[in-house]
Amino acid sequence: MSQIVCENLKYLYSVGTPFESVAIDDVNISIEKGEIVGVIGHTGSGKSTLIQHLNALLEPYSGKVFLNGKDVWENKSEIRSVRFAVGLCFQYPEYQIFEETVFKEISFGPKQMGLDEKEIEERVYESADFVGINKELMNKSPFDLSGGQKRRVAIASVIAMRPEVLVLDEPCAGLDPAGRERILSLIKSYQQKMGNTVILVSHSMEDVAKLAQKVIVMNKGRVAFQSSVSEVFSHARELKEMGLNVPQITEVFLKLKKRGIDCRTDIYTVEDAYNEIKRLKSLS
Amino acid sequence: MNIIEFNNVDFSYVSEDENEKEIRIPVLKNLNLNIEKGSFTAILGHNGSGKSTIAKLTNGILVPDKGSVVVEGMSTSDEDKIFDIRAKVGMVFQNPDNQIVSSIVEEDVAFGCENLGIPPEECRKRVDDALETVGMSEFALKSPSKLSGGQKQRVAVAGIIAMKPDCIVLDEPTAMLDPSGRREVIQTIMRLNKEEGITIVLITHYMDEAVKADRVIIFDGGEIKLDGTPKQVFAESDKVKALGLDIPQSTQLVEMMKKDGFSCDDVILDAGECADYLENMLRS
Repeated sequence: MSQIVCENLKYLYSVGTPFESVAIDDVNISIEKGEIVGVIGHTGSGKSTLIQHLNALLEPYSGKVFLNGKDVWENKSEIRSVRFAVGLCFQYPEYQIFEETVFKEISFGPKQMGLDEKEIEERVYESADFVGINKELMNKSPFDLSGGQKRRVAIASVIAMRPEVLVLDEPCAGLDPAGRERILSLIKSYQQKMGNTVILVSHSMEDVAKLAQKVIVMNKGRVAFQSSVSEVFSHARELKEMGLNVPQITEVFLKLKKRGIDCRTDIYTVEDAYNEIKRLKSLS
Repeated sequence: MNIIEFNNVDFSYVSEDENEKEIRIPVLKNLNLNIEKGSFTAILGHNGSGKSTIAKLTNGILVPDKGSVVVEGMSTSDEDKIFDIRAKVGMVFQNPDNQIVSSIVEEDVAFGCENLGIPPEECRKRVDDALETVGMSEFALKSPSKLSGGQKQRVAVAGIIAMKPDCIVLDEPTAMLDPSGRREVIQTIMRLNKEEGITIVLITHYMDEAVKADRVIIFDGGEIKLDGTPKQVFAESDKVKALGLDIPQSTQLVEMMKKDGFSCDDVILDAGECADYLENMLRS
């Protein structure tokens, strides 16, 4: 059974006003437990609207969202449990920080879940440790931290709720390469250690190629592709038409192929490329 | 000829410690940097390396503690000259939503121009020309809230162009944009530099943007670590990596091949060059 299923999902903004517009339409996706799924699409393609349905922040205009086989809107009084099960970390989450200390900030979510103090403390230290926030920082104001640290505190505050599904909207936006690398490896080890599902919204095709097993491509509010990384990036031309691109190294091999060199084109990392060139060289 | 000169610049931010005693956090120490008129310079560095501080020093948003920043012969520390300096050096920031002030695109573009006291007829012409230059004429009467991120950034750039600056400093203008938005903005910047002769200083985390500049400067701890043409700078790939930055994938691949004994006289920076090199190598 798929962990998350969206069936014929449709959402309209400003219903009943002259500004009514379709945000997403006819969206059918399924996500398996333990997968890392990349969601890509140009600005305004409906990515954020889609992920806000996954933890019931938005109610579908029509269609259904299932979590572990259960329609999330079937019983509105249980909607809170959906929000604990699917943790959503928005874009630039450091702007949502509001508590006096790092400890209080990370403990906010677990507190809302009604956990006892001991459990809360355990979870706070566990998730802070996980994102690499030192114990010494716990009593500092989160506003005194660097941008990268704030971002990690914000992610820790979502992880502290131990969501079955972690949804991250552009977790690396605005970070430098080292910060980006750090967040990505953190996501990877979170998924490996906990076996939980991670949904990663990103503009960086390189990041998605590196991390995800599956990619969902949104275009004009609809699902354009939903498949493995290699299958999706083989549609380089279509992706470009949608305002997206493929990793630079993939583009190199697509060019070589076009020039008549019989090479593989499912190359997403520099290591892939290096091995492929060695293979080609050994043939000649 | 230099348009901007940093002469022995010291700069520190003032903060308070736990006892509310004033402490100074040094960012720049004895910095000397000249930006040549008509050039396109990219500034790289990890978060906290002092990049944005440099941007804000160029047009007097910040002024140095010691030393001087001189724009076309005028010191930014001279309060009487500050408006003249800001008319010469325009600034574009990361978040397009934070720099749009009006509810109609053309009014927003006119804002800076009007504040310079330019007569209305001249303003009208400048706004039309500026929108034309960034390819946004058809949106002149639209609301900025309905635009994509890339379009909003181009409107912000148009607002600067209408002030007819000699230099535009852009602080991570594409950090929040999708790939097509990034392309739009970078193409616009390059055109302004090549066709209008406007000096460009681009602060970015994206190496594929930096390789398009004439000159790349890498900062770390407020000091210049590397400075040269993109080829010169990225030839020192180990150093660049040690400074917490990325190397374009194409450059990385060729570096790996070189370590394996393949020869390459040139530094490869983009997918086109890389495909050329590999094709040559495989066919020989």
